[in-house]
Amino acid sequence: MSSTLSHLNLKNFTFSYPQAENPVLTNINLTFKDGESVALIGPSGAGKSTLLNHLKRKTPQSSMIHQEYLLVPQLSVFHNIFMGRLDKNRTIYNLINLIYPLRKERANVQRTARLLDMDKFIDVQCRKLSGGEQQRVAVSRALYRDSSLCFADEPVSAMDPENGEKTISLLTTGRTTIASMHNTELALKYFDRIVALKNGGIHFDLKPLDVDAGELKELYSE
Amino acid sequence: MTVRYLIFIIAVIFLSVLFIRFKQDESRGAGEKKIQFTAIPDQDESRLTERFSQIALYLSKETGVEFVYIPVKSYAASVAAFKNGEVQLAWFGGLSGVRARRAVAGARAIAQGEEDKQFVTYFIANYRTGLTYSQQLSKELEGRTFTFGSKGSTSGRLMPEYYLRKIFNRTPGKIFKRVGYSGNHSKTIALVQSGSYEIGAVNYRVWEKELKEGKIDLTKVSVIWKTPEYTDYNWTIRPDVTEDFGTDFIDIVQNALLSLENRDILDTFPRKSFIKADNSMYDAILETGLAIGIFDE
Amino acid sequence: MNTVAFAFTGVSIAIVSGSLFAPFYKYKLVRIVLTIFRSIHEIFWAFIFLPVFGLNSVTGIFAIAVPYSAIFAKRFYEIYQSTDLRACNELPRNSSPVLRFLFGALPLLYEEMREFSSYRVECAIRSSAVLGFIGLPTLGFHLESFFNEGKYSQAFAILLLFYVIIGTKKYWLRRKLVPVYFLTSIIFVWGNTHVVWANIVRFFTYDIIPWPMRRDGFINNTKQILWRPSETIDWFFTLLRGEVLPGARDTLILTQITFLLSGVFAILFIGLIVRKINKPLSRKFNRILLLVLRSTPEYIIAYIAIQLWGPSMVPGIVALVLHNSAVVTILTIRNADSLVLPLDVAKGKINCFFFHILPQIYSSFLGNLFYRWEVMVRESSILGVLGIYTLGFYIDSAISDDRMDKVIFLIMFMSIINIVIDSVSNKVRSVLLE
Repeated sequence: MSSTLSHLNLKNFTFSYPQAENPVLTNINLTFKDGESVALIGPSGAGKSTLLNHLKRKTPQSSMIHQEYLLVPQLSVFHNIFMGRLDKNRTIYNLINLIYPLRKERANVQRTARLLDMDKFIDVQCRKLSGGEQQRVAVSRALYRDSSLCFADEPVSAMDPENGEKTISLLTTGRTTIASMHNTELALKYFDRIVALKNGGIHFDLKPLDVDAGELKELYSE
Repeated sequence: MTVRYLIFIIAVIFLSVLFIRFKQDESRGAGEKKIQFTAIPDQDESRLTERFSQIALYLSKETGVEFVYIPVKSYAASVAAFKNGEVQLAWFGGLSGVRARRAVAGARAIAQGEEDKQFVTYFIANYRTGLTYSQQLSKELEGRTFTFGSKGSTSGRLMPEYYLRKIFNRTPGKIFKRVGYSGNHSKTIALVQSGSYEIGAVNYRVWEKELKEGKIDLTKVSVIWKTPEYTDYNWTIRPDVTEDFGTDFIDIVQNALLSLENRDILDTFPRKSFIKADNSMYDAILETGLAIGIFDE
Repeated sequence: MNTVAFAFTGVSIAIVSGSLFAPFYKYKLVRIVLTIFRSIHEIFWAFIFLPVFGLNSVTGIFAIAVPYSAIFAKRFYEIYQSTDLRACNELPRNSSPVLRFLFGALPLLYEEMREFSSYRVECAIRSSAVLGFIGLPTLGFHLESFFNEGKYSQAFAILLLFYVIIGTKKYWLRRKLVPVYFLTSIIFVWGNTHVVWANIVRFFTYDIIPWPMRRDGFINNTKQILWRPSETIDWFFTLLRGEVLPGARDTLILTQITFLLSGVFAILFIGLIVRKINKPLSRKFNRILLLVLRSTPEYIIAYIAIQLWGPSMVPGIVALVLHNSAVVTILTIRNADSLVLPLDVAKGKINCFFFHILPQIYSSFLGNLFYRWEVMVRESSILGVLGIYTLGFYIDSAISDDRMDKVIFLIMFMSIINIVIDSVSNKVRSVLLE
């Protein structure tokens, strides 16, 4: 397991998009521990998503919750969650489930969906769901994938507070989680470690208890 | 810049080519009146061109009027061209001749090949059918695949269909599993030889000529039946040529055709010689056409 | 050369007359007439014009110009409808409507009209090439001759020339050169036009009158036309039973098989060229293959297939499926390529394609497939000319029997089928796109 995480170590990491003038991230140094939950905070444009996408690309086995959900709107909630484990099954088995969901898989998916109260929507097309519900499907897909490493880009941005808290508590237990968080309150409450990004660099990297209000204010100030 | 230059050059070439062609057209059009003639495309086009450019030269020399051959793609087009007066003379089959003369009042058949008095159609079969030559058309034809020549052909459609109906008392569509129209006689031979169709009906002159030229593999395709004799091909002329070329012009053309002795030209048809013909010789064709519903009555 | 000249003159005439008709497209009568014009394939127009004008350029040009005028009228009207024309309200109120149109509306519409016209030039070149098969002196004429005589290398060269003309269109079709092409095309076809007025009159006032009405006059050679209602109705019904219905049935069978298979093949093709899951090299290769299939008229594919297998439904299906699935693929692929997929998408092309890509493009794919539906009907009937027993076969037979009354009746019937299918497919598409 530590081998996967050592993959993620960043040393003087700089990243720029092709044809862009300035790098999005400069001289980032980060290492992650097994089972740790890390919240990335900072103003928009700080490079949180870029960092997450970069880390995700290095670990194909991990799961990822995208900011834009990236669900397949035409397919049902079942199919979208089921997609989390496509690589665990044989292709032909997947296709059968695409056309006719088998009872066993339905039960598995149902179990995961229940965690976020999505089991009642299991046969609904995703495009018919509200934004918050869609985000819950995206989280369920990542949970269903059952990977020991999970990346999440603003995983609760569209949810009501209750579901948001439930989601974060699910994500931060039993796996290594690296998530960008808009909601600092939730971040401080549930995560083991807070990494603040600003202008493409690390502003601070502290335990939640060591983060004080002044520093947060400075982080989000212009 | 270079691309633009290239386009300019191409445009100039394009233009000049067009102008040259246009000039030629004009110089030809400005000449004296000429006779345009056509023929049913019953064989490969290159042979037709070879055949008719030779006879055009001959007729021009004999009559003193320029003859130009206009190739067409279908039997129907040759009849339409005759009907519309785009051509004044045509080498028709029995059926297309009757059709053309029905459409143009006063049009006359003026000559036919010596062989055309007793024309026959050969039924041919692929070797895989196991059929061989016999005096009677075998009942084993039923349920096989069959191809005619062109839809408008006498020897490739009218006569074989007539005899099929007479012998089997059913329409070809009901006798055979599949009925096709190959388009021309050379094509029919090729299709039956290759096995695309098991049986075919073909003009006997075309068969014999291709046989002589070694184009037919007798181990793969052979004649299984010959129809009784009927009258086929003819030269047909529009009555209005007399307005442009004089009242005796039809006789001049007829005489020129009848006195044709050049073996090279005759061999391209292939006919021994041309003999006199008239419209009534083709009444039997008309009757047959009416009988199988090709003509409205 | 004739191919391009026909296409150019035909399209030019069509643009002019299309623009003239476009303002009146909102009237029902005009719309119905133009829909009928549009629903008849170029080849059938050529069949109609052949006995009227004879085998010369006019036939070829009109065969393209007539249906294309209707297409242009419709499209220009749609462009006009969908363009924001508030700018021309700023023009002086008292200026004449024509001037206001020229200075106000035209510049706004110009770009889209130009784009559509350029696309149609390509279509016209294809149509014009196909017209060669029925005897007009275009590329198809030579292609057929060479094929017929087994000169396959020459036939292939002609085909290649055709691809070169189409493929290099964007290099030679420049705005500044259009007048040059137009003039040369006109000059080029001028030398070969020769219209006999009497033939046109005869065609419209005699040849297309149902036979029972012409019969007595024909037999006693007075060419009189008599009113024979009961016999004419009999004649209609015999035709309907004997040719129209079997022909329509086979046309629809061919269309529906084609429709289904095109769908399946298009999905396969999309899978092979979609950007996300294919290597750049194989993608490029497959894409070129599809472009070739798309730009080859299905008539030519069918012709070649029939040379290989003899006339039956199979070559017809192969031709229509190859061509149409390529078209649907190329129309749909843009949507597929613009999709954003999640990063934790499973490895494995098939999984990714069926779970992520296909569901998201499915409705646009169906929309495109239904758009081709009407085209498939038209093309299925055309393939009858090649010996498959669809409506085109009976039309070809009637032509070869010189029965223009029958030809017109069959073509009218076919046009009705096309219009019905077209309106159904429009309904389906508007539902799908919601």
